[in-house]
Amino acid sequence: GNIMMFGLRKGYLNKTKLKKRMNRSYHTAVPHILSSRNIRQFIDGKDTFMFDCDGVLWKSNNLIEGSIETLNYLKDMGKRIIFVTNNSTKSLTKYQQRFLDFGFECDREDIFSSSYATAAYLQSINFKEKVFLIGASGIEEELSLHGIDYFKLDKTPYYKYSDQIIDDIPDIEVGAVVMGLDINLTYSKIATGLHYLRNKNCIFVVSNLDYALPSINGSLIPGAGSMASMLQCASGMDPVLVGKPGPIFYDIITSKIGNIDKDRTCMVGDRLDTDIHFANLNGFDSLLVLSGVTSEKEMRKTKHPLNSPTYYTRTLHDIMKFS
Amino acid sequence: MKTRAEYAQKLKDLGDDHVSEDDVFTSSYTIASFLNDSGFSETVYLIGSSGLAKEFEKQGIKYIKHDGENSLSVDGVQSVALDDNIKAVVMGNDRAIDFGKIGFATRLILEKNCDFYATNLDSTWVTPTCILPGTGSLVSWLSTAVGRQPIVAGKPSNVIYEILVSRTGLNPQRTCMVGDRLDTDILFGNSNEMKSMLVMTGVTNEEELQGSKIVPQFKTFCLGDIKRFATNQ
Repeated sequence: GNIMMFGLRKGYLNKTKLKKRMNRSYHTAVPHILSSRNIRQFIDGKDTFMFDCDGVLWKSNNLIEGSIETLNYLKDMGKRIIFVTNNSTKSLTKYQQRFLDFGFECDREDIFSSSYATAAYLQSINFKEKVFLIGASGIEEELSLHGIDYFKLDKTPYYKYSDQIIDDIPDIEVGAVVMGLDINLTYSKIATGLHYLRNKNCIFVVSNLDYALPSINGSLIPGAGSMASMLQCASGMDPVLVGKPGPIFYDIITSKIGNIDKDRTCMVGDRLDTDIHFANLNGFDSLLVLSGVTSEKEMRKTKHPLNSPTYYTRTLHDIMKFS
Repeated sequence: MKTRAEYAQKLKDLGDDHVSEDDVFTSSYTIASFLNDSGFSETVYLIGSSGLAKEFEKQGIKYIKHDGENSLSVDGVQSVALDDNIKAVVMGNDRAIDFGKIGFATRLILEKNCDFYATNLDSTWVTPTCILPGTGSLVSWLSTAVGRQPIVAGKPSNVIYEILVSRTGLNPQRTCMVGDRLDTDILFGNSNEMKSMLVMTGVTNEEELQGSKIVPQFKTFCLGDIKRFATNQ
């Protein structure tokens, strides 16, 4: 699909830097299936494992079998475990607690959510103005922690007449409209965001553009990307994408943990256009697990070279089972 | 959105002595007519205004609409059983849009392969005092989630053209579309072999006109010019 990736306003990423990054990007021919024959070489060849969470470790509130055991197995081997998730609804503290509840101990510093990345990005561009936020408590907590001033609209009534919507928009100087997943999204919130974006100095930032999310019954429900598309369409503006597969997320991660050896790093995820694309764009191997949203058929059908994984396997537990 | 009768009444109140309901073609009327013409006999899931619902009622098409008390929660969207009788999703402007409606429609389209229609795809709705999100922006919540574009009933789609021709018997070569939007009105006229006239009293300004690939055949400042020029005033 169409992924709008780059900030066009305050020029976080210029075209030359982008070209350099792309030239280093990793194009694999055909994905290799993980098996007991290549598993040792695979594990021994990596020091750092980046894990997506939804569809890899768990599905909604249910743990995927063997995922936590595999995390502990790799950690006991001395591997660096980092979590990179596009989910913007929880803060890092909540994530850390969730891992603990499930049986895996980690530092907050090893967890990177798009909520954290959004706040860190704004901090990195020295953003000192006010944010109008359409999103969940995860982004709110991270914005507060990073000292970024924001406000939200909580209850928006149904307005019979259009002028009433405009009358109720807070008359504040807004420097950025930030969007993440908001299950309480309303027409008024989008109208308000549109109003602020009409100021040429106001930037548009999104935590992630995942169009749909897996639902409890195995189907899909609308994601943050589908919500952000409303404001994209109305404003005609492409947002700055902070989350995977955008390059900003990688920069946020390395600025916190330092440079990593790309040759000895692997991203494990279930989505081709976010997790796998993220790995390829930034120049390291990827492992697609089929326990999430992507089927083997979809993996083989993908036309975009940056969406093709280095390795694939049925589920994360295979890493442990094969070795 | 108003019904055809309401539009006709509005014009009558403003002094139009010749207009009747049959002269008014709204996208709601168009989509309902299109479904009837194509033999649709099942149920539609409607996202839109009461005007859209009234049109479906008037044309005898069964529909389900969520609002207020029966709107679905996030959990409800995921656990609710999908009615097998719903074969199409129709979306129009809905300022009471919410996750429940879009989530339910997403499931219908992805799980039940329902047809997907929209009344129009205008990205913005320009009022005298402000610019608001248009139906097109609301529809993109659903179309992006399902990875599919809707069949559009309104301009510039030829769905409304087919309905127009079948109901009025118009001759396109002797018909002129007068409008203020290039990507709907003028494109509609041009792509259906009608004449097109752009008025500058609406959303399009000179700069946009010069920069656009869509070229109206005629242009004038306002509709009143037609009479003024014709009667030499």
